[in-house]
This record gives sequence, structure tokens and C-alpha cells, in this order.
Amino acid sequence: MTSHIPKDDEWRFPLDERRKVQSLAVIRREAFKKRIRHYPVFPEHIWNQLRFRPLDQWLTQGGVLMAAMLLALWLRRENTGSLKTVSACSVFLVFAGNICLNHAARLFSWHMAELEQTLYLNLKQLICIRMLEAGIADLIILALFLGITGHNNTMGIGVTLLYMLVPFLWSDTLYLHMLVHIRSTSYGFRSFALGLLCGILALFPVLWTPAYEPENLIIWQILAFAGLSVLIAEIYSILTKIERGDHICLN
Amino acid sequence: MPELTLDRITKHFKNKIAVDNVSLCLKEGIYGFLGANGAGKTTLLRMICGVLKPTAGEIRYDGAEIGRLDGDYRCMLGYLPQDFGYYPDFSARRYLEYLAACKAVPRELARDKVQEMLRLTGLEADQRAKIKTFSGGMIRRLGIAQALLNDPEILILDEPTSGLDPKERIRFRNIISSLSKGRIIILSTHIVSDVEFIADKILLMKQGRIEGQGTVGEITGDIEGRVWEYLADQEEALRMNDIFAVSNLKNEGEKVRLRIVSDVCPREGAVPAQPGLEDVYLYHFEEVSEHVDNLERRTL
Amino acid sequence: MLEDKELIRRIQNGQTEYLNQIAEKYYNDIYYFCRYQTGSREDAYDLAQETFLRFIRYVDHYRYRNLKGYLLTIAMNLCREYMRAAAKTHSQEKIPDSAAWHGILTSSETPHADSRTRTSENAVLLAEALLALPQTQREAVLLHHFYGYKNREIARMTGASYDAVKSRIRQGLQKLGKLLDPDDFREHL
Repeated sequence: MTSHIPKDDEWRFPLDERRKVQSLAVIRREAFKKRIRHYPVFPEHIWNQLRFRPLDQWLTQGGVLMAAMLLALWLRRENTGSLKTVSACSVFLVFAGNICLNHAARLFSWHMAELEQTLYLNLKQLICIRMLEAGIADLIILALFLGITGHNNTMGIGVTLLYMLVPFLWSDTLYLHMLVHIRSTSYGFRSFALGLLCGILALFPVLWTPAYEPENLIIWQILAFAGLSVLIAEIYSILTKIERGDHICLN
Repeated sequence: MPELTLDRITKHFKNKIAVDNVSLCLKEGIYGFLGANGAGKTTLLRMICGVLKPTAGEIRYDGAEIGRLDGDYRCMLGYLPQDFGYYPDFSARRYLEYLAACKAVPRELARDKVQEMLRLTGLEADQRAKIKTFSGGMIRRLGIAQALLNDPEILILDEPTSGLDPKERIRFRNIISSLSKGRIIILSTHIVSDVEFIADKILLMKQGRIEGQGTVGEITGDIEGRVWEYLADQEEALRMNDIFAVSNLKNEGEKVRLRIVSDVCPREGAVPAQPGLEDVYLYHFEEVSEHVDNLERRTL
Repeated sequence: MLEDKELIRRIQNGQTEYLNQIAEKYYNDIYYFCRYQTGSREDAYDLAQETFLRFIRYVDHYRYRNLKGYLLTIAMNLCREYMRAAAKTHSQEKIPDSAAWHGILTSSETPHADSRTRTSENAVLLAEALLALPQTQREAVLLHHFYGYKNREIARMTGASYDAVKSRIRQGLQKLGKLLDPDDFREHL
């Protein structure tokens, strides 16, 4: 049945050369005017962000990691009880988390936000990358704690994680909120003061030991869930604020 | 050629209308955006850059809404905000290289491009110095360099000459006119002399609306017959300065030559003069642009 | 002639003059596709041109895979737009369905004076017959039978499922064979 359909080159007929030449001339003009834009892939963006990370950020990050390692090793050698280990680690994690987030908040400083929003990699994407970096650093610290101090822990990994993450979640959220919203004072002072404040809030359960009683576990679970929700809401609100733009312009 | 269309753009802030139903079609060339402070220039430019979202209306580039173009649009954009931010601890060169990376300029190209821009803006010798050591004019030049890094099709400069000294201003004007080919350049200012000679088209903005647009010739043509020159003695000049819209004063020996914008002949003996952009500015905004030499006013 | 991959690499490094090589290399292929897809011998030049202009616009984003297939995909989308617009402006006259195609065959396109070769006549007959197919079948048949793409590739290019493509090709070829069969052809008239 299909034998009557032209095969090979039977269906190619000669073109109107004049029109073809005209077409090609139009294409040539467009090609001449074309400016090639480069669209980096995601890993390239990450690499660029790391490349331009200021030295002091690397140093603090390294310092925090080193301190985490030392603390974990010390706790292991002293063979402190579960409770002490967990509370020490949770407090440390709070401070470390805030220090790591600092780099993300930097984007909002020095009137850079407005300009950054007009770059190819815009403020929204930049902040996501920075928060991702901070999150990875936090995870490394957490893994260090769990790995090194695991053996003097009798509470089980789930409960340990809960005790460590709840203060961290809440203080991180609070810190993020304030860094993005309070921009009047100087950058260095602000991040230091806020970090300290949020860290102190996280000390609360350590000072009030009944908090770690097993029957209070449900409260921890609720707090963890609520903290996670608030953090997500906070990130979402930051991103929509950036999208709307009113907030990132100064006047 | 690229074409930027503003289609009935309106922007409300809580209790005021910053930009009111502005429609414009921008093609290749330099647009001088004139208006007093608070006229809504910055808000409009921010919307063109995609930083602010219009309350109503749409901005399109070659027919596509800029929000939908997203990164493709930002790739073509160079922006110097009025309030230009920088990381004080970065050196000029590192700062530009960082922004080049965020602007998706390929790495091997970025190095050359940064050097080219440093040369163009005369910052080559200071490229290793930290930005916090820079003077206001140097920072402004750095801002211009940064806007040009990605060879933008759309270049938006909000008050680019503020903080520049007269020599830097001339240099800036030369840079901008050399760049106009194949680009849309929007230059907002409240200083007439910044745009008088380089803009292909002048846009006058007042209270959120475009009051007038056209070439310098067209714009000044609109007030033909409303500009007068009058030679007065010192005392009379002082009095007239209070009554009339005076766009310029010039001491000529004992007397003062006044340039007056007025619908009717202000005084017998006043002769009609060829309107300049400065007169247009005065006519529309009822205030004198900074260009007028204040020293001469004070001598009165 | 350079390999497509190398051409794209050079273009994306800023040597835009190589865009012309791509246009010269594939112009005919794209033209034939547009010609058979839309049935218009003249407008196909514009569509082919527009295909390359669009390619130039998108080239920065393009990740090399199969250049000809990519160009054909652009052309296909343009042809779809063209047919839609044509259908809107002159609802019946331009888009013949199977029932109306007989009339068009006898009235509209007669072979051009300067292309009296047998190939050209065949081409006109083929174009008319193809136009009698539904658009999706026509796309699939063209890409499969004339451009030699595999079902899987056509599915990717047209955005249809593998099975849909398979049946479109089968039905399309069947119909086309019938339409081009001289005996059958007489019957129709």
C-alpha cells in the first residue's frame, strides 16, 4: 500500500534559489547582531559562590567545625552522661547554626539587595544557595556530634536528634527573621548581638532540667513540628518579600 | 532591535500613587529621564529592572512580559541603583569579578571584561584597593563599571552622575554616548546638562506621569516664545527673580542678564530667546535644576 | 564542514558567524518540512527563515543533542502556529480536510512553470495528499518516512506518547498510500 509514497530523494524538488538567498541574508544579519549569553548550570553557580566567599567567612566556618570536633572529642573522653552531652551539643549547635546563617544574611547588608535582585543569579536564588550552604554545614556538625559522642548516649538517636534540633530550629528561625528585618544597626554588631540573644534563648531547657524528662517528650515533638513549620513559613515569607520587592528597596 | 514596552504601568504604595498609568515604547538609543526628586523616576526604573512589581500594567521586552523572561531578561540588564551597594571589604576588582559571576559572564571572559571596565571608568590603578577606601566619585564610577559588565542590551542608570565632579561628568557622558549602539539606555537625572547633549529622547516625569517626551528640539519647541532675556540693574533683577521663573542669571558689568520663562512678555524691553532644555525644566517643574550656577545667584 | 557539536560549541563561545553555516546546512531540510507540513510553497520560505531566527534567539540555552531534530521541532511548532492562524483567518479555504481535498487538488496548486520535472510534479501530488492527513499524522509521517526518525525520537519531538506516534505513522502511511495510488486515485475522482 505504501509503495506509491515517494522514497529517497523523490520528494525533494528544486528550491527557488532567489528566495533561499534572501532568507539566508536575513538570517546572516540576525546572526551578526546576536550576542551570545552564557547560562551557567547549577553546580557552576555554587562554585562561583564558594569562589567569592570572603576569607573571614571560611575561617569562621572552619573554626566552628574545629570547635565542634574538639567539643565532641572532649565529651567522649570525659564520658559525660547522655543529658549533659546532649545539652552541650544542642547549645553549641545553636551558636554554630547562627554563625553559618550569617553569610546568608550578608546579602541584605550594605544596600546590596536591590542590585542583587537584578542580577542573573538574583537575590532569591542567592539566598537559597547561601541557606543551602548553611544547612550543609549544620548537618556536618550534627553528624560529627552524633558520630563521635554516640557511644555515651543511652537515649536513642531519635530522641537525641529531637533534643538537639528543637533549640536549633527555633533560634535559627528567630535569627533569620531578625537579620532580614532589622537593618538599621551596623552589620557586625547586629549579627553578633542577635546570635547571642538567640543562643541564650536556646539555653533555657539546659537550665531547667525537668525539660528532659521522658514524659515531656511530647512537648518536644510539638515544638519540633511547630519550629519546622515556622521556619518554612519564614523562608517562604522572605522569598515572597523579595519577589514583591518593596522591602528590599531602601526608600 | 530590542524593544521595551511599558503598558499602562501604575504603582501604588500604601497611601500614594508613585507611578500613574505610564505607557512608553523604548527602542535603541539614550533616553534622558528628567524630573524633580520624588517624581517617581526611581520607582519606574525599579519596575523596569524587575525589582518592584507594578500594581497594574505590564512591561514587555520584545513582546514578552519581563517576569516571564526571568533570567533571560536579567542577563540583558545592567542597572545602577540610585543607592548603590557594595561590599566594603572587597577590592574593586574582586567586587566586579564577583558580580560578573552572578551576571553569568563566562569566567574566561570575565577577567578581560573586568579589566576593560576598570580602564573605561579610570579605576585601573585602584583596582586592588578596598572599596571602603574609595571616594564618592570613585564608588559611582565603580557602579557604572558594574552595570556594563555583561554588555547589557538594556542599561538603566538612576542618577549616575550624583557625586561626580565636573571632569568625571564629562567622562561619563562620553562613555555613555559611545555605548548607545544597539542598546536601550535609560538615564535618570534631575540635572539637565547630564542629558541635554547625549540623549536621543527626553522624557519629562512629574508626579508619577510622563509630562512630555521627544527630542531636545521637540521638547524645547513646545515652549517656543515663552523664554525671554532681559537686562536689568542689580536691584530690579533681585525683584524680578522673586516674581518670575528665572532660569539663569548672568552678571554683565553693572547689570544682570536674566533669562525668564513666562507665557507673556515679562517686561517691556525683554527680548524673546531660543528655549533650552533648562528652560523647559523650569517651565514644567517650577524649579531650577542644579545646573544653574548658584554662586552667581549668591553674588546678587 | 564542521560537526554540529563543534559548530554549537563555537557559537556558544561567541563566534556567531557559525550560525550561518548551520542555516546553509539545514535550510533545505527545514524548507521541505514546512512546505509539506503547511502545503504552502511560498510561505514555507518564511517559515524556514523564522525557524533559524528562532534558533538564533534560543541558541544560548541550547544543549547539544541532535541539531537537525531540534530545528525540525522549532519548525514544527512554527507550522502549528501558522496552521492555527490560517485556520482562524480563512476558516475553510486554507485547511482542507479529507473531504475537501479533492477540490483543492484539481483547482489550487498546479506545477510551477519553471519546475516541470517529474520530481516537482510528484512533490505537488505528495503535498496535496499529505494535506489530506490530520496534522499530527502528517507530522509523524513526514518525520518518520521522509526524515528517517525513529518512533521514540518522534515521540520526544512532538510530545506525544510512543504508542500514539506509532499509530499515527501507521494510519498516516496507510492513508497516504491510498491517496497516492493511481488506481485508487481515479476511484476517488
